[in-house]
Amino acid sequence: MNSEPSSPPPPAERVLPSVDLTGYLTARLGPLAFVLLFVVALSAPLAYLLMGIQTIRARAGSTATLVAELIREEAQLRPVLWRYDAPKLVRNLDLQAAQASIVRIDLSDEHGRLIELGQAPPSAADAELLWVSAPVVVTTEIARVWVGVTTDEIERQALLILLGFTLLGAGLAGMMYWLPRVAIVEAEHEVDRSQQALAHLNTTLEAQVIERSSQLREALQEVRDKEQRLRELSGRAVAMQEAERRSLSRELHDSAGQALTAIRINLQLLAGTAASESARTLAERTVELADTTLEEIRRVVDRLAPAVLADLGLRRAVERHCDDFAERTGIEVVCRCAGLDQPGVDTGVETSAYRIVQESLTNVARHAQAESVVIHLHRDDPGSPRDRIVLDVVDDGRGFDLDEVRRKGRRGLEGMRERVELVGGTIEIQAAPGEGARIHVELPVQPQTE
Amino acid sequence: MSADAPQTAARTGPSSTGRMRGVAWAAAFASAAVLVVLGGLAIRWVEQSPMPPFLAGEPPPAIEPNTTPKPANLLRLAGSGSNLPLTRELADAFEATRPWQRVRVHESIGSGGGIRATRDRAIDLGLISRPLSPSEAESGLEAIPYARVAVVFAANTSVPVRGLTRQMVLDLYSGEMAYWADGSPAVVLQREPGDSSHLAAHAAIPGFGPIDEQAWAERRFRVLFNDRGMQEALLATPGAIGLFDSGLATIQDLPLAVLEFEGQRAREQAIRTGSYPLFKDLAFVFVRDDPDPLVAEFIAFVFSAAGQRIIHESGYVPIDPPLRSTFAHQREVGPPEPP
Repeated sequence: MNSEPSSPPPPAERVLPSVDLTGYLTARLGPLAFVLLFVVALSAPLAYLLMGIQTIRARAGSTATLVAELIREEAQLRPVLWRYDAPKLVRNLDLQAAQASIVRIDLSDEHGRLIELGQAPPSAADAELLWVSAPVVVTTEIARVWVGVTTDEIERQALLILLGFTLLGAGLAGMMYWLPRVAIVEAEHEVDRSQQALAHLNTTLEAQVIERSSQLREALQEVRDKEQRLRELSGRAVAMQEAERRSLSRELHDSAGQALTAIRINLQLLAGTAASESARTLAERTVELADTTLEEIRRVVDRLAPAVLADLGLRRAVERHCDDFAERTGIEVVCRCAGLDQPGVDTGVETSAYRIVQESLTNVARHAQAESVVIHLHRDDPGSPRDRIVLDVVDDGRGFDLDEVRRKGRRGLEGMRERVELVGGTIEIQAAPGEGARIHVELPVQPQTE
Repeated sequence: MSADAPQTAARTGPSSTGRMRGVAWAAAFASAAVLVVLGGLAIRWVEQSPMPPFLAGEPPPAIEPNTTPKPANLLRLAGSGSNLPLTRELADAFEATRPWQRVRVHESIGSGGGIRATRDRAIDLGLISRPLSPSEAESGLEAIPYARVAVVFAANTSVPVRGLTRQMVLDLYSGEMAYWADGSPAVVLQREPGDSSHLAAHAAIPGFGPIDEQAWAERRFRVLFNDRGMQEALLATPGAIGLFDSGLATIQDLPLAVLEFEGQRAREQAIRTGSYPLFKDLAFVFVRDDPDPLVAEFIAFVFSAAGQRIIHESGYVPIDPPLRSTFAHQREVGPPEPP
C-alpha cells in the first residue's frame, strides 16, 4: 500500500555542462590575427612603395623640367641646329643629375617624333617604364623631354620591407593569438578542476542526501510500524474493553437484573398480599425503586455493551436507539438504514458505528437545540476492497464554530475521531453557526491493518 | 529538465561557435581582399603616366627634308668642334676669294649632330672628326677627309712633367697615379664617350680604351662635353691633364703644356710617319646624290693649293683627296674659273 519514493539517478551520471572556451576564443582570435598579419605586413611596404614612386616621379619631373629649360635656351640661340646638339646636352645633364631610377631620357619634336640622342632607340620594354615629361616651349611647344624611370629598386626594397613586416606581423599576430589562448586554456583547466571539485561535492552531497533519505524512510517505516502496532493494540484493547463490557453487561443483566426482576416480582406479590397499608406502600415503593434500579441497570448495561446490537444487529439497534432518543427527547429523528443485514462486518466496526450514532445524538440533545435529526446509515461496495459502512448524521440545530470547538478540545467529537481512526476509518464534520451540523463517517467493514 | 540542459548546451554550443568562426573568417578574408584591392588601386594610381608618342605604337609622321629656302650663295657648315677653327680659317679664305659667296660655320654640334643635320638638310656640309659608322654610310652620306690633326695630352702649365709614357697614361686614367712627381694632385679631365680624341687614343694606345670607359662609367673624373669646355678647364685647373687637339692649341696659341708621348712630339713629320700614333682625320660629309653646288666648290677650294697651305700653316696635316675623284682632278688641273 505504501508507494516507495522514486530513487534519484546515480551521482556518477550527473555531468556538469562544459563550455569550449578555447574554441570560442579561437573562432574570434584566428581571423583577427590573420587581419593583423595582413595589415602589418602590407601597410608599411605599401606606404613605402607609394611614397617612393611619388618621389621618383617628382625627381623625374624635376629632371625633365631642367632639361627642357636648358634645351629651350639652346633653341633660342640656335633655332634650327639645337636639336642636333641636344645629345651632348642631354648626356651632360644625365651625367650630372645621375639618378639610379632614371633609365633613359628622350626627346620628341613638335610632331611627337623621337629626336636621336645617340643612344639605342627605345624598345617595347621601355613602355613599362614610368614616364614623366616636360615641354620645351619657345613661343610654341617645339619639343618635349621624356624621362623614363624604373620603380624596380623601390619595388625590390618594398619587397624586403614586406618580408620584414610579414615576419613582424606574424610575430604580433602569433602573440595576439597564442597569449590569450594560453591564458584561456589555463583558465579552462582551472574551470575543469573547479567543475570536478563541484561534481565531487555534488556526488558527496547526493550520497549524503540518499543516506539521510534512507534513514528517514527507515524511521518513517518504524513509526508506521509502531503506529500499526499501536493501532492493533488499541483495537485489541477496544475489543477487550468491549468484550469486558459485554461480560459485565451480561453479568449485570443476567445476575443483578434477574435478581432485581425476581425481587420486583416478589415485592409485587408482597404488596398484593400485604396486610398493612404501610407494608403495601413500602412494597410498592420498593417495587418502584426496583424498577428504577432495573432501568438504571438496563442503561448501564446498554452503555457498557449494547446488547441490543448483539441481539438485533446494527440496523435494528440503531433504529431502536433512534426511537428511544426521539421518545426521550422529543426531537424528531429520521433514520434510514440500508444494506446492513449482509454479513462480513466486524463486531468492533459495528460497535464503533453504533457508538458514533449514540454520541452524535447525545451531542444533538445536549448542544444543538435541534428540532429534527436525519440519520443515514448504509453499506457501500460490499465485497469489494472498498467495502465500508457509511454514516451521515445531519441536524437542523444552531450549529457551531468548528475551529472554536477544536480549540476547546470537546471530548465528544475527539472521542468520535479517535474511535473512527482506531478502525482505520475517516470522519468529516461540517458545521457553521446557525446552519446545523453534518457528520460524515466511513468505516471499513474490517479494521485496517497497515 | 535539469538533465537536459547540458545536452542542449552541448548541442547548440559547437554549432554556434562554428557559425561564428565562419562569419569571422569571412570578414577577415573580406578585409584582406579590400586591403589588397585598395593597395593595388593606389599603386596603379601613382604609376599612372602618359605614354610617349614614339612608344604608343602609332607610326610617327615621316621626317620631311628641310625645304626651308636658303640663299643660293650661302653655304652652311656645322659639326665637330675639332673641325671648327681650321674650317673657319678655310671659310674666311674662301669668302675672300669669292666675295659674293657666304659661308656660315655654326657652333659645335658634334660629329653626330653634323651627320644628322646634313642628312636632314639642315646644313649643307657636315664637319666630322671620326669615321662614318656603317649605318651612317648607308644613309646616302659621303665623307671626304681633308686634314689630319694630332691628339695630344695637354696639361695645365703647373704640371711638372713634359712627357708621358703609355704606362703613365694608363696609371693616370686608372686612378693609380693620383699625384705628380712634385706631390701636386693629378687632375684628369675626360670628354664624353664617343669623343673623337678619345676614340683616337683608344686606337693608338693599347689597353687605354677599357680603362677610359671604366673611368667614365665610374664617374671617376670630371667630364667635359665640348672642346671649349675642355680648353677652359685645362687652362683654369692646376695639375689638370686631358686629351686635346694640337691644332686647337696651335691655332689659338693657347698657354697649355703639350706633352710628348713615348718621347715623341706631335710634329707633322711624326704624324705622317706614324711615329706619333695619336691623331684623327677631319672630314667633310655631304649628301652623295644631291650635293649643293657650293659644297663641291668649297671642297675643291680646300684641296686647292691655297687651302692646303692654310691647313699646313694652321698646324694640321693636309690629306690628299680621294684618287680619281673630282677634287683630285681639280687639284691637278686647277679649279674652274669663278663665274
